[in-house]
Amino acid sequence: MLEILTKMPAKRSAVIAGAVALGLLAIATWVLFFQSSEEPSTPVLLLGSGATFPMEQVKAWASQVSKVHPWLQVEYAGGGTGKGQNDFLLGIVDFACSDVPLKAADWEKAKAQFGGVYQLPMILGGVAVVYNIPEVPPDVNLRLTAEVLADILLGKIEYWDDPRIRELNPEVSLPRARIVFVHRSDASGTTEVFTTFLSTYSAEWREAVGAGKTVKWPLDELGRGVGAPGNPGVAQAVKTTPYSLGYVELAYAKGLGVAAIRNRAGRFVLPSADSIRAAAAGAVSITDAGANLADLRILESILSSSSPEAYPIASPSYLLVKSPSAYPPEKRKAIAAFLEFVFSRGQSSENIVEGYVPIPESWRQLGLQAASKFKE
Amino acid sequence: MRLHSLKRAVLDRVFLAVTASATLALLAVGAFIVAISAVESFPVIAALGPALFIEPPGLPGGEFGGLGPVLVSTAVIVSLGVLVGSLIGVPVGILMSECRGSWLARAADAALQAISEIPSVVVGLVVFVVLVLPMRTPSAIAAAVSLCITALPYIAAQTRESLAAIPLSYREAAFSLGLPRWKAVLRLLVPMNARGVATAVLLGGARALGETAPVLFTAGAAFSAFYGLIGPSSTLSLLIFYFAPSPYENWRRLAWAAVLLLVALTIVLSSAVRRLSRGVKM
Repeated sequence: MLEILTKMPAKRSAVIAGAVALGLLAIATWVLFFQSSEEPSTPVLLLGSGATFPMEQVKAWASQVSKVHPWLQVEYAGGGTGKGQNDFLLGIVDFACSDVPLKAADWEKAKAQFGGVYQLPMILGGVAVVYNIPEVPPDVNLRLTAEVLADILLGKIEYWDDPRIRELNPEVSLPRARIVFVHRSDASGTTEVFTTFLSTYSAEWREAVGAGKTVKWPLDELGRGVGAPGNPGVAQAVKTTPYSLGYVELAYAKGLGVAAIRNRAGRFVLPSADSIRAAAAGAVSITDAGANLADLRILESILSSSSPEAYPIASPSYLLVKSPSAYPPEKRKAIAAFLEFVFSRGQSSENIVEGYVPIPESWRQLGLQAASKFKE
Repeated sequence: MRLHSLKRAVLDRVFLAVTASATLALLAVGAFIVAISAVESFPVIAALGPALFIEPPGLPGGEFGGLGPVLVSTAVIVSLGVLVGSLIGVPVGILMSECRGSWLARAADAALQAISEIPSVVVGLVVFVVLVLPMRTPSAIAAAVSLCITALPYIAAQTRESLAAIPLSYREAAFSLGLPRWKAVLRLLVPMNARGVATAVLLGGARALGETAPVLFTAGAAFSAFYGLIGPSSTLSLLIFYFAPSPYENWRRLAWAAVLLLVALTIVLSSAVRRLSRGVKM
């Protein structure tokens, strides 16, 4: 080969060299222009784990996004907020979902490890206060305040016809029946949101019981509290127990009496997609999703939203992604496509699973800004 | 004297009754497991038919879907784990049987004993630290490695036992022909005992198929597709672990279908083991 080349006239080898150079240039242009703008030819998988609360929605997005981008596959394993945050910090998942932002120390750790972390509120949920009082007609919604709820659950208000409940519901005839309280028997983010709500409004509740995934319910000791597993369990128990009161995620409130709750502005509001979104829109604004969100106390600010339309027991779920430089190029492209879908088309009503609430416009922009960083 | 024999007869009957009822209770437990998994998974199997073996699981709260990708992943992970487990376990079993009493055999015996007594969740955690963290992803490989470790003691022990069952006279015959020891083992004893080795491999397979704890940290929980050896994966038992306690009716039914499949596969494997191990073929 070498001999042939050296024996060749100079002109001919120049032509060959030119052709080779042209070919290389063509390949380079093709790679630069087509490969980068076109979708990857091999499938890319994004693996996530974390909160079970948004699981239905995340799985739905995963299946929707694969229809738009056939090269993109998203697997979401669930396992709980704790597992999600842990997997994320260990670097064995591409994204995580969490009901709360990373604690300050974990955020520092993630930032040092991945060069940054975005915590993007992606979906909202609301907790409905449900009851079963046969005497109250289905088209009437009982009105309750956080203070009255706290006193019921502290055992201070024992009967449905207590003057303080009657005072809030002058036009409803309430029976003299003992209130039975149904709560979650398993550790639950729903319990945490509900008890955080009570703690925000009632100092006595904050001191006596506090907030958490499981709490020591005072009514259990008085024999008027019962536990049930999961949202379906609580909904079923309330349905079958006359004069009971409970709390469930909005999607499970169907067929039960739902209470209108008084918000910071003094209005009684029923849980709905609009009223829950209004609560989030009235919350503290997030200017940088890459910052430490734990100090913003976002949940507390939603629970005490001053917007008159806000339903006060609402909470967001967060999508956690590393900084773009922490991903290989094809995963970076996949994250960009997934974020772009979740924060645009993913929020439209036909792509939202029943019981979840799309996020307000300001949070969508936050997500899209993050997505654009992954495209650079 | 008569009183004594009466007492004896009564005690005899009582003892028989106690053992018989305990046996019946055991049979009832077995029958109950099969029956309840058949009843609970019936709606899925009736609704899906062959799609159960093809489709991926449905969305939470939606349609049933199927177990297709999970079956593929399970087959790949279990057969890879058992293959590697056999490549290590069978020679170790031969060594333990043929060089009985040597320090190496004693050490191997102690090591296998230790592995089989360690709770399998520990195996999962160790593989998580050694493989999953450096690879930065859970994977089918990591799951296969942890299943391989759990199946290894069973494969080695079964191989040793089946070789030990060959009468000494065959060994003596081999040696009297002037065969060196390795040739005697490889050319005569192992082929004579092919069924024993097959039993060991199947036993390892049955073991690996049912284990959940080793794959908990290592496989990931990717149920929608098979993503290759270094991609996240899943097994039938892992699907049961994730789907059975979920609040979604369709997932719980799928978990029951997986239970029925596992029960059926285990029964098939263990009856094959029993049939093969019925005796050494001379």
